Amino acid sequence: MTVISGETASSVSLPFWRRISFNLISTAILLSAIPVILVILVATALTERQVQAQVYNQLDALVQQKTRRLEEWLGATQSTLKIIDENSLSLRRTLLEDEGQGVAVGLANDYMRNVAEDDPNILALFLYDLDGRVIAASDLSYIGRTVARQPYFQASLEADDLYVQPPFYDLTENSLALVITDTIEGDFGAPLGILAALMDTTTLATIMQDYIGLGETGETILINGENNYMLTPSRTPNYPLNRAYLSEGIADALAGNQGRDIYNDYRDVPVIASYNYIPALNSAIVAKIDLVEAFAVIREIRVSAGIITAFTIVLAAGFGLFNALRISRPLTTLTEISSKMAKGDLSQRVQVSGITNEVGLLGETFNSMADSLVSTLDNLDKRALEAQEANKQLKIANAKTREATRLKSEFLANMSHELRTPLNAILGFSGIMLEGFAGEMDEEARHMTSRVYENSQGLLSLINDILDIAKIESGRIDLVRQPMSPVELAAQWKSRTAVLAEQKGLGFEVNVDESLPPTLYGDPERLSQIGINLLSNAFKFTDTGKVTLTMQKKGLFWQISVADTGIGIPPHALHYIFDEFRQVDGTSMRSYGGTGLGLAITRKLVLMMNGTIKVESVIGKGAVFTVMLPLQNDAYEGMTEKAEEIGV
Amino acid sequence: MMMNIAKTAFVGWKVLVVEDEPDNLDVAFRILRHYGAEIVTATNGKEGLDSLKTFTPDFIISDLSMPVMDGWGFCYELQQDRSTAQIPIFALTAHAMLGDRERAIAAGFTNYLTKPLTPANFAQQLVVILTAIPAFQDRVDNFMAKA
Repeated sequence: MTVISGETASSVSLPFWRRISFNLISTAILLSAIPVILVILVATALTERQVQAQVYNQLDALVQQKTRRLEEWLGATQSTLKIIDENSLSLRRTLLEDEGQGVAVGLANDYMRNVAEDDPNILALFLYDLDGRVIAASDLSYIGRTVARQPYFQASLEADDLYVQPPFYDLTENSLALVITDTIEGDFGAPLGILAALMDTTTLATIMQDYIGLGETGETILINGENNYMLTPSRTPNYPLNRAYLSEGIADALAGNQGRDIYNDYRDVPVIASYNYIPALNSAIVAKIDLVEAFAVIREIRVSAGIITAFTIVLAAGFGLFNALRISRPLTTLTEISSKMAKGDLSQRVQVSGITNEVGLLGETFNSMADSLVSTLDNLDKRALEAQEANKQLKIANAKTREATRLKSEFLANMSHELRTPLNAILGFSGIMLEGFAGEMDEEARHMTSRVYENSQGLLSLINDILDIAKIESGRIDLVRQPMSPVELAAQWKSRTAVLAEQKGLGFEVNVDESLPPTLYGDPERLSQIGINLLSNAFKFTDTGKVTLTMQKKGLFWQISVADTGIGIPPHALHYIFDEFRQVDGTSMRSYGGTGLGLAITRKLVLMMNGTIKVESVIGKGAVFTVMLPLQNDAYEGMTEKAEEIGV
Repeated sequence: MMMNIAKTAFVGWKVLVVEDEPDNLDVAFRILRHYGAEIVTATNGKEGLDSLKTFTPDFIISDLSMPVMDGWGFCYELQQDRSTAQIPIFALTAHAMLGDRERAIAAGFTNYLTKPLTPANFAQQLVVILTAIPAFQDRVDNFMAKA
């Protein structure tokens, strides 16, 4: 009794992809994991889009808010400069170089110092003449410096009104310098000079470095359109102000566009950004946040999704494995048991209790099949024994039959000897007497001696015929196979029967057709027995006319026919003429003599040679016996033994 | 087919006839004697061998089934002895025992004679088979009666 259990079959070697367990597990995994993965992919895509939109909105808002604050700040300074421009006569007089210039310069200096001190955004104020030379300032140490060669100076002059100079890095202050200018015009609109304010960029930096809403990595930067300098420090260290910075967002904003995009920023870090151009500052404002941080939520979702997927797969695989083992283990065990049974151990059965599914049913069916196999085999064994017994009986019966046949043959041989010995003596002595070797006899004695002789002769042929028939029927005659000449055979038959024709004064014709091969193979002795028998018969039943022996080739057959002009055979007798002891009727046997066995022997011999014999006759006209024998041109072709089939 | 055999056909021929059946032996003896043959008889192979010590026949006629030593044994013994191996020996066979003829030839008999030993049958067969033996070619002229 083998229990269906965890034993795995080493004898069963299937490639893993054919195994039920693999199929079930993979199916379970596919069925469970595919929807989960799809849901996760859709969810993350949606979330990503939403998060992105959210971040963009937030960045847009920051850009707007900071732009507004910057513009406010700038506007305030510009207003201040305007007020100075409109209210300060001393500045104009300073510039006009008219009388009292010296007083005016002093007044201008004082005025500007007051304003600069009052306004927290302005570090210093300068007044340039048209040559770019500082002629008055809030700080007297600046007076006398010239900026004519600076490109911004010219730009300031050409600007209609207020002009924000591109920021430049002030090496002496080690800070970014931002200068806003205002052209001071004379009575007829002609420029007199330039009022410049060196701005305190602290407020600017405060606005830009307000990272509220920008997380850990987000920042807002301000890039000047003239030289791409950053106006406020980067949130990341080691990115100094006095350097040109570029990114997709910066470039697009400086081209005057507003936009939002995901790209690699000036640090070559992927960011999600919103940007705009501030015309008043000729600057790009960019609010951006590192993609990694912005999409941290998505990443978290993905990680969770991965965990869920993995968990689902493990669960599904476990479930699949459980089911697979429930099915495949019993099957494996079943296979093992089947192979054990195939090797002859029929006592094997599977334990099916507790397995309620189809596999359990299969196990039960398997067991009942095994039971019926065992009983069938038992039956088979029984039958084999019976057959063996029957075989034994058959062998015994066979041996008995053989023994009986042997005894019969022996009996025949003895009979033949015992019967013929005295007959031979009778024939011998009566023959000698008739020949006159022992002296002459008178007519009556001679007649009676010849009766003795002829009767003995008849008895001897009867005995010989009976022995022949018995031998043929018991299959004890072997045909020999030797070359012979049909022509010679026919001549021999003629010479051995010619005496019969002479006795009755009958004609005797022998025709051997040239179509017949000169040499044929067969048993000349037996053939002669056939031929002579037929010829003797023909002469026996013919009183006038002739007997004709014909041999010819008919297709693949050797046809031997004996025709006579005798009494003929009535139609009703044709079918039994070849039977033993049958002549046409009882009287003819007596009047024509013979044993009545000649034709029976002839027919049996013909059949032994795989031939046929037939007779045609017209009453009073004669009869034709025709023998057809397979034409055998060589020693071995078509050689068969028919003797046993012809036996009784 | 009747042959006209001369009454002196076997004059000068020496024949050993071995046959256990006295009547058959007598018939054979009388027929051969009628045709002038010199005959020695024996009733089995053993006697036949004994008689050959003093008598050298031109041919031997032997029955097959005999007591003491049958025709087969006799034929075999003759073949073992150089002095007797050359003597033609004819087996006497019964018509129904067809197989015996072939076996006789195979066993070493020169030829066979078929019973019954009637004068016509016996003498005729003997004439035919003796004529077929090359060694006797110069002696067969006397077999047939002169016309």
